[in-house]
Amino acid sequence: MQRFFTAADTLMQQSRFSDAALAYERCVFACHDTNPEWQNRALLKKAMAYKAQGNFAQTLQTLYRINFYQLTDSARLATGYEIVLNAYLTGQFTDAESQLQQLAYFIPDSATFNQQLLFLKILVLNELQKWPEAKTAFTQYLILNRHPPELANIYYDFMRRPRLKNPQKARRLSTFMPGVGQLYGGNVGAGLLNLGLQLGLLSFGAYEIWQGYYLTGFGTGLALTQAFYFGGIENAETVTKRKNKEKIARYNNRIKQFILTVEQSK
Amino acid sequence: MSNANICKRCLFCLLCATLTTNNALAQNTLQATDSVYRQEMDFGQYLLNNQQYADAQQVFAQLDTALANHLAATRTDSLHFYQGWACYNQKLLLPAAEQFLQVSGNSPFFHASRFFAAYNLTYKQWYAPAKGILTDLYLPPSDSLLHELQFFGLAGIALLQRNTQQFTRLSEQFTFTHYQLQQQEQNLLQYAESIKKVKRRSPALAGMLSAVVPGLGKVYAGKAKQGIASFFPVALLGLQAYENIHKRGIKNGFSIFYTGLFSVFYIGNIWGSVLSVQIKQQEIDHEIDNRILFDLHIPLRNIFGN
Repeated sequence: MQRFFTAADTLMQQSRFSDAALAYERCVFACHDTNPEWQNRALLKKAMAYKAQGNFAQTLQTLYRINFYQLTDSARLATGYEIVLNAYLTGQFTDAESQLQQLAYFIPDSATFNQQLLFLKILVLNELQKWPEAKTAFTQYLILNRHPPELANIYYDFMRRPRLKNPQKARRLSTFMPGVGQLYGGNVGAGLLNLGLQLGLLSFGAYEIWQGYYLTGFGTGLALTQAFYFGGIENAETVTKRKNKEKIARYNNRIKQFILTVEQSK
Repeated sequence: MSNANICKRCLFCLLCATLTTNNALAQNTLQATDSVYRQEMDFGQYLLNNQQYADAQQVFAQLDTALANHLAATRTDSLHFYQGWACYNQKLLLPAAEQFLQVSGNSPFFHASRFFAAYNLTYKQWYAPAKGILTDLYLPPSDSLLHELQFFGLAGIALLQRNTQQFTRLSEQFTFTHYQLQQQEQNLLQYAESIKKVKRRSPALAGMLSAVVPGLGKVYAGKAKQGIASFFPVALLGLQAYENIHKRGIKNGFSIFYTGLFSVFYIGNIWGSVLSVQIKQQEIDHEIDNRILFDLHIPLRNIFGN
């Protein structure tokens, strides 16, 4: 068994991560159903080989194969940390949150949990837009890292005026007044363009009808106005959602940068 | 004892010793090869069972490279079969077929390999080699199931090639007595019927119909919604062009603009109708082909396992 591990470790040291992953799977196979502890160890190392390749989805998949119940507390913490981290990196934030809750159950020592996983908890909660919980965790994090807890109010200041707009409301506004939904969503350019186009086409249509060119007035002016009108309603919702996404990323990125600086300085 | 005799005796002893050492070495090499083969095959099969097909393929390929010249024929066969299986599960159908075809007639995997190779080639539209594999396949006369599977595969290929005469001849051999492919045999007959019912449309006629009434060619091609949807913009542009020519004169900018726009849409619609006949035909063919391929696959999994 040891020779399998040595061979795999050598490949890992040589940065041959793909071969190392297979070599660790060989270790898993060699101690299959006989030594769960070694099997878990091999799986964790295999996951690290995938992680070194930047293949976080495979890392996560391998980590899920580890039998949590047969781990020591420290190994459970290390594995749990990797699961949460890789779930976060693959954008599976709900899974990351549920793993954090499980870990909190498995690791009753809150000091250890906070030391290792609090920063991940804040990042995950931020992505899930659970900002009140994230702020509480962030305050705890600041105290733990000897920073003034008041900083939390500054970093989470956006919560007082989140400026996130309701895409459905944007839709409704554009239904009654073209372009207003886009303006409400924070997309001034799109709103004005939409309004201008529809007013222009409507005016053209009305003018042509007034001049006696009924078919041109209806066919070009009114037909295109209605096409832009319904398109504008859809567009109001889409651009509002996109703008919200940008704002959320901006709010979260400030906190993320702060946490990364603190973690790197440790 | 003379010197000559002593020398002879020494040489004999040396020869005996050399032979014994060589035998022992050969025995050791054989044992080592055997042990490596068993170990790697077990590991490869474990990977296959755990659906880690790419890793399994790597293990089998490495084993093939390392021991290719030292393995008995039956073991080489097994190795090719499992390599093929690993490729097949990754949807690498041509490499899979290549591996399956290297399995020799003495192997217990022979029939499975040949049928899967034929299926993989069929899926890749290599109908002639696939047909060749199935036709040349020797089957024990007593094995009625495999004989039926052979006819079934050949009939499926004939249907994919739209060779209805050949299909009819082959499907007459269906006995519908083997539950593993009974349902699929009936399905093939149904597909043959639906292929016969499909009306071949003329692209030229579709174009002409759209020239008379915009969109009518698409309705004729079987795309009624598209036809109706394309009628209105062309008609509306035509009416606007007419109105402008009639009221503003043919040299007016509006007239030129609307006439130009109408012409582009009108001609585009005719061309679109010609193409829509071909597109619709391709869609129908594609759908039937997919169903045939799906039904050709099921009995293979039923008979040769997962």
